[in-house]
Amino acid sequence: MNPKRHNKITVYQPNHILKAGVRIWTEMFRELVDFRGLIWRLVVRDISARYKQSFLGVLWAFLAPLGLMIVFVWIKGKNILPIGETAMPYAAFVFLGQMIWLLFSHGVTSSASSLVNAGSMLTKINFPREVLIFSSVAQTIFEFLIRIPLLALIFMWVGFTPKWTIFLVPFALIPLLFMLAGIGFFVSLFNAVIRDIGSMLGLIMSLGMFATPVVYPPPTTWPLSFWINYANPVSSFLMAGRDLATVGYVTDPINYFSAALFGLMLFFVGWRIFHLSEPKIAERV
Amino acid sequence: MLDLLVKVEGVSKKFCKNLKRSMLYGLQDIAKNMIGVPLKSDNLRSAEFWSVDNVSFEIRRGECLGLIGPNGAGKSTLLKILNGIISPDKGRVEIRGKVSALIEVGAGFHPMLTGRENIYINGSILGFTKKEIDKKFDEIVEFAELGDFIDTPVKHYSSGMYVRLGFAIAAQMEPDVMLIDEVLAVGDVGFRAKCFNAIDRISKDAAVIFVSHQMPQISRICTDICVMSHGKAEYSGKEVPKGIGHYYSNFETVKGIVTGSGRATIHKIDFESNGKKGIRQINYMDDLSVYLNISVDPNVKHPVVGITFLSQELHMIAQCISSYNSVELSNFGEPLHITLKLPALNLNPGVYLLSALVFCANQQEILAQYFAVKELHVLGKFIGSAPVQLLGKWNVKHEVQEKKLNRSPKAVYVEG
Repeated sequence: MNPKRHNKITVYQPNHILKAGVRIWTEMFRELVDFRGLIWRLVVRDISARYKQSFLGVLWAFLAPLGLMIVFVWIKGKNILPIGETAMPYAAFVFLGQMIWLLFSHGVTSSASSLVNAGSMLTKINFPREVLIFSSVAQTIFEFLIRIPLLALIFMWVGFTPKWTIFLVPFALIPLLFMLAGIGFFVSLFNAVIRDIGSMLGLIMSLGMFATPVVYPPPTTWPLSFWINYANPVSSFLMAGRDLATVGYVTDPINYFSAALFGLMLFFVGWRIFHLSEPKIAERV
Repeated sequence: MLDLLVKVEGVSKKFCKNLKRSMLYGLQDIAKNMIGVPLKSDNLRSAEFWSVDNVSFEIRRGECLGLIGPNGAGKSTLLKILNGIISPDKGRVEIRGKVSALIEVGAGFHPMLTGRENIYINGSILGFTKKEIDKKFDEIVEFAELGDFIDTPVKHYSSGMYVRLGFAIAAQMEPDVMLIDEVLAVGDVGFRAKCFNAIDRISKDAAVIFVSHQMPQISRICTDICVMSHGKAEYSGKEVPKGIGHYYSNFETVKGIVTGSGRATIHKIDFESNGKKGIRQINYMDDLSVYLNISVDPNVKHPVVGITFLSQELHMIAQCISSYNSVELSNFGEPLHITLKLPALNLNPGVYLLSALVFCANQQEILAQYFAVKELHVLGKFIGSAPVQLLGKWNVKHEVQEKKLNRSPKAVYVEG
């Protein structure tokens, strides 16, 4: 065993983290590196435990976006709602949009409840609580990845050949991951104290899908176009992802990069505040 | 090796009694953290109380601190502060080296996963790499005696198996500081004994903090003791028996239980020593007289009367029964006045409870049992941890000189 670790001196005192000042960032990154094994274990644990006692198992990750896709293809086919023309066949359009939206929304809701769900662990075991957020994000990434083959099948079925730049989509979504982790830091903290946050979040996420161009093309008329395409940071990633699949480049780079910057800022501010409030979590959860 | 591993200085922790208020305070604290306002944690807001109040102690390598106190005294909170799960509101905790804590067994276990998977998860929660766990894996399984069940999901484990696995992981990790809350009570006798041996072994090269309500366990393995009551450390030091005495003084009022068929009544029980009646205290090795006033149903011609001394944990320690003493009582329905002399009472100094019972020898019927109805304090210096000290005739031979040493038993005890 590492002898250095044995002589490590740990000090617990009120507000000890505030006093540490700038060193906190190195401490936060070191913890992240030290506990990468635990993050991985929690990811594997939660994924395998979720699918263990179910027959359909991993198929559940396909059913939700697939169901919604079928419903909206039907709605558009019967012309119940006036959904405009889309750059790719509508089924593929909805499914790709769903994948990106679910990456975000499921990531936020699961990281928001991660602290509460780990309640007994939080009050009995000492480990960096960030691990729970990171492992929630990793789980939502896992779900995104296993949906890719289905997306490919849908592309083949509707006879759509995307541009090669579709392979860049996962990379373009990395800032979105930072953003959802950042939001996760904030909401999980509040959700640990007052449970209303979790219920509220569920409502926001189910409404939010319709405030994001998931099932319809981005509106072009002002002011709707501003609120949906620009004020909603998830839209920027969604549109950038579809652009990479259809035209081969991001048509509105300013929108994309400002959303990416926003995501990164949210992540670091959220992480920092989460880390500061960490010692207060266990007694309130 | 006597290096200081745990240093606790004036640690305090407050909690809120009201849930809604607690939510409000939590939000306030998080909001303050967000805008960078330092928290003023050293005074109480309304509905708050000190769960741990100004506790200090030090533990070195090789020492084992017994943390005792009545329920709600703040022991578990203190352990959580030491483990860094919650931060203190006042004071300072300094810990050197690796900590392994057993606050609640199986806290990190996922019920759907097998014991094997959970060992790896729990190990990495405690901060170990996969390689380190690999090395310890067989020892853990062997210690836990789970055998084939290691590949069964832990949700099918019994609570005893949970404890076995949890303790095995914590014990095999070679910690510098080990924190153990009241968890071992679930295990069976064999496993408990094994655990105590393990704690003994670990505490030789580590600092152990051990919470228990079982005083015999405490006096067996602890070198230091800290008695907590209402968040405060009432006593903290090396004199374990003194600490245990403090602990017991928290439970003065004992309500006796009266059972039996009701065909006998005990009107009065009284103690007498050195000519004084109605006493509650007696010096160690003094003569004690127990006076009983009983009435028994006239149909019971020959009742048997007995008294039992109980420890404060209500374990029976010593008995005196009339039939065993070859005393035959005759009953005609009139009240009986019985005085029972117990010369040189050698119950270890401490607090004992007395039960009196009347039964019918041939019919195996308990006519009256007055359980734990009287309290008796035996005063004197601490002698040994067992409640009854036997007086023996000692014979010690030196192999070389073949010289006999005969010491009177009295002399042995005076020194003790």
